[in-house]
Amino acid sequence: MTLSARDLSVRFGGLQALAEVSLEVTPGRILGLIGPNGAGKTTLFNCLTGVIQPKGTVVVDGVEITQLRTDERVRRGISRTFQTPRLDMNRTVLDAVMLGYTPHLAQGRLACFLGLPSVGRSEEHLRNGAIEKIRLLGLGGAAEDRAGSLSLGQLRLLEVARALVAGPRYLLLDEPAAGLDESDRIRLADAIKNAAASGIGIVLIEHNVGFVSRLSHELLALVNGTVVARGEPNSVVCSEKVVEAYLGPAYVH
Amino acid sequence: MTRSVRLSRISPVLIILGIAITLAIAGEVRPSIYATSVTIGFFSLLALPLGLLYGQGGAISLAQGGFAAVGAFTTAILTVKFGWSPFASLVVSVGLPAILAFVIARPLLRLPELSLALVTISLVMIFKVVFERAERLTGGYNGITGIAPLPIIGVERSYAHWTVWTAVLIVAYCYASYVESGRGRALNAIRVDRLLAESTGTNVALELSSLFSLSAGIAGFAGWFYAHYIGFMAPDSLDPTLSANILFMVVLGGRKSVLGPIVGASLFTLASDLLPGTVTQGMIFGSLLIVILVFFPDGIVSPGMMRWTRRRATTIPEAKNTPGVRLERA
Amino acid sequence: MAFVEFGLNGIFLGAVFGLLALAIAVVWMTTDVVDVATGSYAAAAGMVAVWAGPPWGALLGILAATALSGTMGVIFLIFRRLGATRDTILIVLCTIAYTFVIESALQSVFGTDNRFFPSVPGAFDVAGVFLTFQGVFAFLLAVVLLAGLLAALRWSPAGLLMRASAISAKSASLTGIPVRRVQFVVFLLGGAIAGVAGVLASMSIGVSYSSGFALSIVAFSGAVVLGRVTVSLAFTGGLLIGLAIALGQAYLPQGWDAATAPILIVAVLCSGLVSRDMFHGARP
Ligand SMILES: Nc1ncnc2c1ncn2[C@@H]1O[C@H](COP(=O)(O)OP(=O)(O)OP(=O)(O)O)[C@@H](O)[C@H]1O
Ligand SMILES: [Mg+2]
Repeated sequence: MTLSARDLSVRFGGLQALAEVSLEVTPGRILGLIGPNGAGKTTLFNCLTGVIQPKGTVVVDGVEITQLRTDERVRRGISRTFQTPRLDMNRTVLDAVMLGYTPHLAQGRLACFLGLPSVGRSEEHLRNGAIEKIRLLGLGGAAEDRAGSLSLGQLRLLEVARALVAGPRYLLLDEPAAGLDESDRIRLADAIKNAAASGIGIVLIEHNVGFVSRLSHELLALVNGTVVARGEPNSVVCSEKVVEAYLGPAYVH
Repeated sequence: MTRSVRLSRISPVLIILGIAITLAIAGEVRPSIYATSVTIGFFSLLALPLGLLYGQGGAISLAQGGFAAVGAFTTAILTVKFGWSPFASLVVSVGLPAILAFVIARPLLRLPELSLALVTISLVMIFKVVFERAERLTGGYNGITGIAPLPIIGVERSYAHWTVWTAVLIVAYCYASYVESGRGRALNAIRVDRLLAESTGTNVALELSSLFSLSAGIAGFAGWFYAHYIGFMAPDSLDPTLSANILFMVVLGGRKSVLGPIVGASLFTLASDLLPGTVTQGMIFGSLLIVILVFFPDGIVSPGMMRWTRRRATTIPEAKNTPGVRLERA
Repeated sequence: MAFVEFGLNGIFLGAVFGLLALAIAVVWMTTDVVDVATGSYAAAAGMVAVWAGPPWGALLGILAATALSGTMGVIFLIFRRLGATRDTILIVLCTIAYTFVIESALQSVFGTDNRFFPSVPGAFDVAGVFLTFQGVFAFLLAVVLLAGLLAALRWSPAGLLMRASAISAKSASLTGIPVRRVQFVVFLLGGAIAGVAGVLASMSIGVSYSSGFALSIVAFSGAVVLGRVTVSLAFTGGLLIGLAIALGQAYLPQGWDAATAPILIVAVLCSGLVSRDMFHGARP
């Protein structure tokens, strides 16, 4: 029962975005992913979700999924959020979150075309589930607002809610806490902890080292596409290479 | 909330029913109006599924007229040359374009919008060459004459009117229901951002191919109806211009709503009935199209009337254990 | 021998398509718009030229085509002024509607006949290959135009502005280039080139009110057939399409050659040979 990636390598022309990166997440654990801008963190997520095809293998719960399309991987329980929120700004927050239910729609196309009552009933059911997640992330008051009226931080929370309603077994969060105020940050941390407690394996990209090391069970530091440190959060944060990458060589003592 | 959902699905259907009844009453007073109403219905049948595919899913197609021609020629050939009953040929008239569309859809629907437009219009031109050259089957330029009218329906104009408008009503109802459902949400996501749709678990290729195939099938049905209604089918009857016009109907009427394509089809038919002269019509009509495209690019039934931009009355209370104060709320 | 003869005549015919492909390509590269009415500008030029008669008819025809494309350019500018981020596909639909307008206008003024401008008389034969002076004239004229255009793009200040706007309209406008004006001029340029092509067409295959759309499709297939869209590749592509059509006319059963261009378009665009960037304007 793991999501594991082995020796992922990606090149963009002359740029080695990832070089033989491996990682492993087990259900209930939170893996923090840190690294300076351009280190390849988002690229790693893109490999795990099949947006780009890397060299190397991705295995989820013992099944290799390297060749699967993005949507097939979602069906296998890998959900993600985007660093720059992606959604239809003209629809309501509730609608945007309910999009996350797509893999779990009970009715087929035909039933949807015929507008069977069962479609309406399950929509109602899904709506309630979505509202619960929206409240959990503190967006309850905005559920019926246009998504475009939210702040960037709130949009990131919305992305988290959307990923959560998909009922994933593995959740990839790309800088969800960026641009949040303190109260939202606490709420987000709670939501992440609860998700982990309910058995979801989480990979969390985050620049705020304090925030991420408090939350994670394990930390992985990426610099220029290579893993420079991994393990216990405190030891990773203090490791020479991480300090150098974040603060410059002068701070390494 | 359930009620508001139902209503928004039913109300366009009621409006269309109203249009159909009004046209029928007018047709009883002046029989020539039935000809107009059948034409509007025919165009609507072609435009509605394109509205779903393009307006909701973002995949443009300039091939609707071409698929209608395939359906029309299929039934013309099967009934006239092979003596099939029109109802047996209906299956092939719908099935053939649908299958054809499904098969060619995969490479097509990956293309960007502009590219897709040019490819689909090229497809229609290829169809036309095939119709013109496969003389033994299609009769070449002269086409096929003497296609029998449909039993019962073919006898009275009002029957034809109700046949085609019933089909329009059904398609409109299905369109509206689909958009309301979770799959409609996924379809909308495809238009907005394909990566978003994929990352929330939508098989984009399958979704669009199915809809492309469905709209081709419905076009095939419209073509089947057309062939038996007019009694004659030639390569020029349903030509590439029609395909372009169908897209115009969708865009002008309003590509984002159920009613848009029908409004577009009505205006189109009325305009060509009312505008003087056949030769100069293109000038007036084309100029009007340009003006509307430039100044009202969202069409007549614009997204302002869409359901989800209207705020629903219900509000959801904030969670109780809110720590801290919220500073920003737009 | 017959093959060579068909081939060469095809390439001479292709000169017309090459110019049209060129016209489509320059407008496409600078404005992101595939101007479907390009063929109609050519048809109009041919019809006007025939109507006014030689020798000044040719010039009048080219002017007419330029005026028509200029009008499209104005429509384009208004469209962009009203909403800079609007979907480019709507403008492409405008050009289709514009095709209807021009067709209908030509039909009501000039009727439905296929018309011919007097061609360059005479023919000659080289080693048993029979060629017309008209064909050679069309080809040479087209090559000279292409060379002139390439030189202008390469060395003239206006050409520099055009190239800059083609690479990125946004960054060009940030550096103070009047992108909109450049785009308008490119519409005029495309119309003029299409006008020349139309007059040449009226000297060989003839033009009718309804030639426009088919010409556009053939020209577009020429513009994309070599994969990358540049001025000289578009022209070469047009020549190749002429060749393909001529050989199709010679060796395919009658009438099937009309499917050549659309089949090429489907094949080339579906194979992904043409970079998505060329179409990116239509998908914001
Ligand atoms: N599609 C792409 N094509 C070319 N280069 C890319 C592409 N995607 C990412 N890159 C490059 O790969 C490198 C890693 O990018 P990535 O987005 O993974 O960084 P990141 O660690 O997420 O940084 P940030 O903290 O800024 O989000 C960057 O140099 C980026 O410019
Ligand atoms: Mg990133």
